[in-house]
Amino acid sequence: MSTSSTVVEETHELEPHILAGRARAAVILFIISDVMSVMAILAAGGYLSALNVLNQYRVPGDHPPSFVLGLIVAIVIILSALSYYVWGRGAMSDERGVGQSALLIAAFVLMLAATVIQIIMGLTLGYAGNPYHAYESVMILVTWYSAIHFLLSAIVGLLLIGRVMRGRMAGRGFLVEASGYWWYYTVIAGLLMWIFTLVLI
Amino acid sequence: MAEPNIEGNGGGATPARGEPNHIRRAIILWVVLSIIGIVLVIVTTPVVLPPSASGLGNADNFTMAMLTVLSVPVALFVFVFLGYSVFAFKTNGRPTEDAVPDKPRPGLQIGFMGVTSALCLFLVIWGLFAFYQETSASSPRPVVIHATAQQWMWTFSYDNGATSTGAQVIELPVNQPVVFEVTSKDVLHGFAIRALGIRVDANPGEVTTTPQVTPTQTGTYLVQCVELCGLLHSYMWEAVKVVSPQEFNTWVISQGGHP
Amino acid sequence: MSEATQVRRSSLISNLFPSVVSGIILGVIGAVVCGLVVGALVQDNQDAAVVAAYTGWTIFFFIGIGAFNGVWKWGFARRDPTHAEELQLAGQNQGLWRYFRFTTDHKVVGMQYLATVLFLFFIGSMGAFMIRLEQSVPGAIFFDPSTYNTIVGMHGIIMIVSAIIMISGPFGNFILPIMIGARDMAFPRLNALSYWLLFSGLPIFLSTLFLGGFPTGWTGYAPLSVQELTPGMDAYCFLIIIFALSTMVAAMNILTTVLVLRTKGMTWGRLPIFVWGVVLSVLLGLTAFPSFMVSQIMVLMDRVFQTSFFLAASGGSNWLYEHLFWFMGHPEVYVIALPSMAAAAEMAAVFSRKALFGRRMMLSGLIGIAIISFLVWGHHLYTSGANTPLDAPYMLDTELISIPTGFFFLGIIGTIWRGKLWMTPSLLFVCGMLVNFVIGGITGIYLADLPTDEILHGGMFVTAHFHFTLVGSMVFGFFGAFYYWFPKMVGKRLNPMLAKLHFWLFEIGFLGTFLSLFYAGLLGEPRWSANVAPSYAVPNLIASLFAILIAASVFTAVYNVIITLRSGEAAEANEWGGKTLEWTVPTPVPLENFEHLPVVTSTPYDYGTPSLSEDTEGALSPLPSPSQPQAQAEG
Repeated sequence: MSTSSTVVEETHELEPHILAGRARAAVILFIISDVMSVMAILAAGGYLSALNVLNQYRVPGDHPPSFVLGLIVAIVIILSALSYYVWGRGAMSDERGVGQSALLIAAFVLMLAATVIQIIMGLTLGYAGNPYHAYESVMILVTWYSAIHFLLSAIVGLLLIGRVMRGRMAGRGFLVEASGYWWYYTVIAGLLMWIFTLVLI
Repeated sequence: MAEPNIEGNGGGATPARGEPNHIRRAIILWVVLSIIGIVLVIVTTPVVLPPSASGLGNADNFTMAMLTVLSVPVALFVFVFLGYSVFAFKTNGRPTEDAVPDKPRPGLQIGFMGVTSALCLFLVIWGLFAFYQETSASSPRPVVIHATAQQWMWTFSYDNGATSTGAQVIELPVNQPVVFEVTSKDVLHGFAIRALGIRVDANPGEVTTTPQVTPTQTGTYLVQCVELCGLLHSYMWEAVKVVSPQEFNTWVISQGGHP
Repeated sequence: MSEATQVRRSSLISNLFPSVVSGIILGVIGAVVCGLVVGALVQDNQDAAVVAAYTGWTIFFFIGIGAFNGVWKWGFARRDPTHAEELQLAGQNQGLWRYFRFTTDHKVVGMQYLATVLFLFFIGSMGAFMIRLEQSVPGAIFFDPSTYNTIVGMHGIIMIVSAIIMISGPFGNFILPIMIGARDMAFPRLNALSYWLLFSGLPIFLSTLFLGGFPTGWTGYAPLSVQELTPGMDAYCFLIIIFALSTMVAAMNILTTVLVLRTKGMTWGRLPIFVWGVVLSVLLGLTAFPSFMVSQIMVLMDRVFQTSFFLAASGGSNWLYEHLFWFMGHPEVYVIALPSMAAAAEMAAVFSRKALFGRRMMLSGLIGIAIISFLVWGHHLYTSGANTPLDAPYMLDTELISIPTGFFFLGIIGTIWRGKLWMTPSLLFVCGMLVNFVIGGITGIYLADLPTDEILHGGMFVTAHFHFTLVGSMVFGFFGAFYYWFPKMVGKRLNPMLAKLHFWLFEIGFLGTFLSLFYAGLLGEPRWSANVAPSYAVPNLIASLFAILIAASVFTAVYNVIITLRSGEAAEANEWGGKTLEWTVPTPVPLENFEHLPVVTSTPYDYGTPSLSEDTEGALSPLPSPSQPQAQAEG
């Protein structure tokens, strides 16, 4: 049999609609998995609240994280999502795929800022500790889990910026779309977790 | 290597004349073995199952026997048809032709679904009924015993004031209902008296209750921890004696209570 | 002369870096540095130092093995990788070194998984034999209770981890992409990542032996797992988090692959049932494992940061742990079961030379199992006291799951019935699987039933039940698949007599051991007994004696593999006459699998129907059906 390596080389590239389907499927599956983890945390919080074991679930003095910082983070991530969205629309209709890269950079910077503020929120919770009560434990977990997710999105944003700077976005609209799903999911999940900290009794 | 294909029979043929009716043979084998198996189960169950010392335990043992009787034909269905196939249909080495494809048999699949659903429904109803019976049994004045688990021993205190700690034996009066309220001081433990047929976890910060049970046989039995609780989990058992009411009263007084 | 030595030296360096060697070296450095730094910053908190060390190990291991290179390049490289670079990453021309690197070729990853699974089964078995040794006589004779509890826990977790990956890892990676007519998985780099995540978790887990072991058994129940006994517990929690990440990445990869990379003509209706089994299994894993991961994050937080998710004194509850754990724990056994059952179906068809009986019924069985498996976890909490208005519905759906399971096994029996049975070792293992599953499945009913669970929960009856289902059925399915696909993966023929000896020793030993343990459970013996009470001595001794046969079977299989690797006969490309696509490619399977991607025209189960093909003159002629696969090569 002859070395038909040229045939193999020609046929190894995936077609564009397959690349797009692949990206979409992957990010949606990843989001499903993450949703399950978020739901586990929220359910845990509600369950412990309902059980109120030995009446020690929440004692006077156990407060939610700083409302002001939470509000700032909420606004910042919404702005970040909006910035990404506008960039994305431009990038998908631009033949070089880069759109207005300043908007992408803004989205990234805002997400990074949200991460930093969230970390500050975590470090200044002001709980007595040793041991933390169940309510405080849930708040701690929700606060830091959100911080990690903002950080993950920021990293995705940074990598996208890299590609945009190197001019490797042509024909890669699906990357903008798929990363967008993750970006918006992070923002929505973050807002949901913030509301949870406000309403959990 | 492989010979040319068989005269493929697209729709699946009925057995040629002269070929034994495999299905009929297998079914007969199945029925015969099932009857033998059911008889064996009924005869051996009282020997295999440990004797129970309460009505509840007896009911549970009966349920186990019933489940085993029902499972005999189910298990034999698989064993017989599989075993028969292996003996009747195996080839010597690599087959030289394909097997005749099956006729589609929707009746078999629907029938199978019907039978298994009916079995399942029966089991659920039986289980619910038995469970309801045991949890709704209530007498106005059971002996209430508080069992506290800790690593790695049980502490008991009776409502009548008797207490027992460490490896001391506890006693229960025969033919009187008793109920245990169980908790733990540290980690999860499991409170079980196999002979009486009761079991419930011991959770820190919670009090859980066993079903009410009436011991019917005197004797010495075991309280065991059945939830892994660390280092000496498998040493965390104590003796429980079921005794006559007079002996029980004597014991209660000796443990600091008033009968 | 000196040029030659120079060339040799540099190729050794380029072989070693990046590779698993550099990964381990950097990982160890990272672990030591992070552990010492945190240990110095936070006094009196051994758990913090240990967890920091594990985190350092993981991050630096992946730096060392070159996993982050791809991430960096994705964003900041000047150009996309060329085809030649992709092939280089896939291990082209690297000989055996490619197995020790972050290699992306799905066949390499499949072999890595296979080697790891066999290794884990081996050490897990050694743990089992130690358990049986201790339980053969009453009293804690051979091991002190702390060591025994650690052995039990390690045996449990090692075996569970192996069972979860045993089919999807080796065969889901090596065989599945070829089976659907693809050149590789959807995300080759993530594929390598999922394997190396698993690998990186193993030294973490084994370090528990030097940190005092852990007392909780494989379920890691809190609050026992939160007690400040030894830092050995942290190894368990961290392994689970890493393993959950590995599983979720692999699940996403497999699902995406089957969604978008099926070749032309490979509709969902023509997909081999093995692919369906793996797809459903990883879908379960993707959705169920996050709660497991969250539970372990919470345990680590309780241990390191003194939170109180599970400590009653500050408002926590062990019931929370039980719910989080079993929400994963129940679908998890179907993660284990579905690929094994589906592989058994493939083998049943090939070795009976007959189409699957009731293929759609079997498929709906798999789907039914997958859906119901999410609704039954409460049966692990029947006796927890965590009530119980839901106990009755849980009993209902636990019993219900037996119906779709029955469909599936009816299908396998119907396939075998009136087939032309080629009694290969694989078919023997399939038969063993059916026999054992009937026993395992039926005893599950005893446990599903509320009143009988009262007397059986937490006892050896449960242990025997899950060994019958997970080991007697699913691990048997693994060995069947191992003997089935080994000729394709390795290119050599395993000795069939030794393989059959492996089966018989395993089956007889297994039945003897675990039927005895059923009896011990009926008598009331609790699980996790370092100290077996004298009343249970006889069944335990019998079980331990039969376990010797299982040990003999393990060594028989190991011997078979070793002599085959050294001097085995070469296998044919289509060793068994199968019809799925992997049997149409040559052995060894070339990089990128297919010269031309195949076009599929039928299911791979059309045995007994004459099939036609054009020869070079254009005339139609019947081809021998056993060697006619489901696809016609294009052009």
